[in-house]
Amino acid sequence: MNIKSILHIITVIILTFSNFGCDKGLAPTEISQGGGSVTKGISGTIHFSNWPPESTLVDLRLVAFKNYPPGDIVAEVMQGNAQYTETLKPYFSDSLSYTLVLTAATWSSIQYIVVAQQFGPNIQADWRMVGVYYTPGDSTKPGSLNLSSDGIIYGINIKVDFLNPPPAQ
Amino acid sequence: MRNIYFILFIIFGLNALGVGQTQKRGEISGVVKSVDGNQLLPGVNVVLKQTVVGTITNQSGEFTISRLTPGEYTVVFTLVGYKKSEVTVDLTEGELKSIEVILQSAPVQTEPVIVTASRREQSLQEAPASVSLIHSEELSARNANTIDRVLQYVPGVNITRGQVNVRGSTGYSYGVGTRVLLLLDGMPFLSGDTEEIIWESIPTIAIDRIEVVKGAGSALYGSSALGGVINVITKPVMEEPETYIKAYGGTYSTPAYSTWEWSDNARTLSGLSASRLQKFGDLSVGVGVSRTLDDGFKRNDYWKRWNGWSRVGYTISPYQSISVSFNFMDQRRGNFLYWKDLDYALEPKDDQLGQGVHSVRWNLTAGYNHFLSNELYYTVRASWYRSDWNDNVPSNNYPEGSSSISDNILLETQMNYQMSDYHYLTGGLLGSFNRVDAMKIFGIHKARGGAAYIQDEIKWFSSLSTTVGVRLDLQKMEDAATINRLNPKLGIVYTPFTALTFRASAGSGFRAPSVAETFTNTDAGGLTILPNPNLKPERSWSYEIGGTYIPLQEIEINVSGFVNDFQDLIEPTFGLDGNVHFQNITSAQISGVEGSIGFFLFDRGWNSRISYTYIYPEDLTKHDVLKYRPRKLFYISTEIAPEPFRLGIDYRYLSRVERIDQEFVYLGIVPDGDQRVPISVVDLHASLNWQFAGLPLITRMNINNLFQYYYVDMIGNMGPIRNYVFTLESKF
Repeated sequence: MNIKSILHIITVIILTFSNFGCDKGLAPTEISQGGGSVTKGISGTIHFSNWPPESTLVDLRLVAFKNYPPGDIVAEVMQGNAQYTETLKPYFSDSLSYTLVLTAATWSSIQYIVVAQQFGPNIQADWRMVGVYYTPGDSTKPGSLNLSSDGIIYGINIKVDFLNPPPAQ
Repeated sequence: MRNIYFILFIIFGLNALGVGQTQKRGEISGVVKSVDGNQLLPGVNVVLKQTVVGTITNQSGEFTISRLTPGEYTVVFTLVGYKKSEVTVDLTEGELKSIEVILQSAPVQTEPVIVTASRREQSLQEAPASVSLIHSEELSARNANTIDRVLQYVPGVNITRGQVNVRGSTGYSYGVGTRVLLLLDGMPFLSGDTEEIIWESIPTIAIDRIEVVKGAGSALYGSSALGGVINVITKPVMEEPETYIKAYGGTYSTPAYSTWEWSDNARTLSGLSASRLQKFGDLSVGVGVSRTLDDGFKRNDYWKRWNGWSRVGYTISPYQSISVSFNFMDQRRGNFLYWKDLDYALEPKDDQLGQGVHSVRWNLTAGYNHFLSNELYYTVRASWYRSDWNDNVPSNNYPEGSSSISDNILLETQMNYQMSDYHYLTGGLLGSFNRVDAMKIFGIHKARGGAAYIQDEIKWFSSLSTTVGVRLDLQKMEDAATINRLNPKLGIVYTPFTALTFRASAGSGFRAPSVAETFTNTDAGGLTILPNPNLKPERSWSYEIGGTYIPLQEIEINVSGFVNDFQDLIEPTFGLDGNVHFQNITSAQISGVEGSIGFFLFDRGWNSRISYTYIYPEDLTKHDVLKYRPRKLFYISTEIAPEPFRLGIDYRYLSRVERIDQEFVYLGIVPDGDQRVPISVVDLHASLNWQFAGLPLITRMNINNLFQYYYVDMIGNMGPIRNYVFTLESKF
């Protein structure tokens, strides 16, 4: 093999393989979403009263459901019909603010918003609802939200009384 | 320890008693040249037929086989690219015979010899299954500290976070159980508790070659060989002493995105290895040690490892030999389960920081080989694999962490009987004992088993041969029902002319559930995993048709189509009680096609291989694709070698995994866990051999993930980012 052949081969190899370097693969969320523009979500304050013992506070999250009435919380989450916040902390606060950015931008509405408490070690079974977002002015009817336009909907406030949770749906 | 003394006593006792030394020994030496220009040929395999004696030629094409008793010997010379040559030598008492052998170039590439497909030496072309070979040079060229680094370039093979898939067989089983069996010199090499492959336990500097047999192999090898068998074969000790030293150092690149940077310090990797192989008369000795360190490109994903190995062999006579080998590993590594989220992709959740695992694993193997006659050969082997690990990963019941000690003991005897030039019979008996002591996670358990197998190979015509075999396995774990599995196989090889071979095979496989799958009882991270003592073995049937065509010395084409049916696959599953159990839930069929083409141009100065595998992994239970199986694997490897330089590039493309354990995402266990892309990675290696300057030195440069492509190889786990490694290697 002479030098000329070797250079030809190396050129072919480099040209071939350099094409594989165009895509960079995964990137942080902000970059992969084109500069971090938020699509849809809700934000508000949760007011708490009558906190239970800490041993029963395994987890506490706000959950937004696509449909109403929802099925089992975990089943809805696993089917992609419910989204939730990080754990609402610190516990024993009078109120906590939250923001839930929806990762499923195809939702046109949220039909049901609750605060859910995991009270035991079983991540599938040990959940109960302790607060519901109601239609403003009507504390008997769960509130729904239209998500037709982009952006965060603010003022979605919820009251949680651990001793008087809302009736099961 | 008493066992070692016993073996040493046998070795030296036999020597002292003068077994095989009643007559003055003779010697056969010589030189091997090519017919074209009388070029001296190094690396030629020189074997005395139907004996345990052999060597390879040195850089000057010379060989010596000494201490031979009088008799007639057939010396067989083989080298890829040349025709096999046999020379008969009649050696009288004390005679020193020198011969000169001329090898002729083969019109087509001579197939290398393999031992895994049929438990005997045969050419690659004779094997009824698809087999891929990896030579030790490929490990060195890629600076592979573990063999999974090179397996990921084998057609149809991919690695998912350390778990090997042959044509989509394994998926990802969370480190408990493998559907591809790993052998070390022909003996199963799986840990006793989880029955997983611990790649780090195999010292790469001791490896001569790796054979990958695709498709179910339980008819010869028993449990775990559902999807394939990987056999790691260690280096033999040659007449000429060999010292090998390797030192390397390197660093990981800084990630391209600032939120992924988690350390101000360079993340480095380094290692030092040394080995010595030497013969002392009939005694051969090999020892080696490695120290390797890796800071990790992910936080808390470091490792620090010692590897050691040794081998002592004794040639009792040209027809009998005995060997003892020992492998050892001590490793401390951090615990990185999942990323924090995609914005902090190289950091684990905070509670994993400071968590780690310390493991000590060793393996002792002893073997005895005996040619009773030119036709009958048997071997007896025993191995003991100890796995001992402890971690500080807290569970609710054991906040201090878990630990496990397991012993896997195997005893086997194999007989090879060549009834005629056209008829081979292979059979064997095995016994096994497995003990696990892991009170905090698996409990304390014992299992025992036995197996018997037989295989009949008949060459009906020069162009047609068949292989029929069957193996019965019995396994019993405490009060559980005895597992008994009968696994048959059938293979046909048809060679209408030298350059073309067709093969067809069918065989069944099985995998007994591991202790970890059956008895894990722990809770951590919001999940509770409970035992399931009613697990049944997994079963499979593999069917393959394929062919190899070598139209020119410069081109080799391989094509195959395959269907693998799986029953009772074991998977971790959320039960109605909200807890995780391992259950036999999945029936599946993985069908596909595989093709590869190799080019060996400019007198093998430019070698390339392109392979493509398409699989359709269908979950018949859920009518969906199987989890963690990319449908398309596309690999290119090319190497140009104008002496003294070598430059090689490897490219891997794996299509995006379509289905994962979505529960981890929906339950918030792995934030952004559904983020994944196809894998498209380029690795580069270059080397300079300083032999032209009279130095026994090779300098190497590796750039892995050259274009800094970011991908996950498992939920929430980034694959290695770009790293640069510089290596000095010397053999003298």
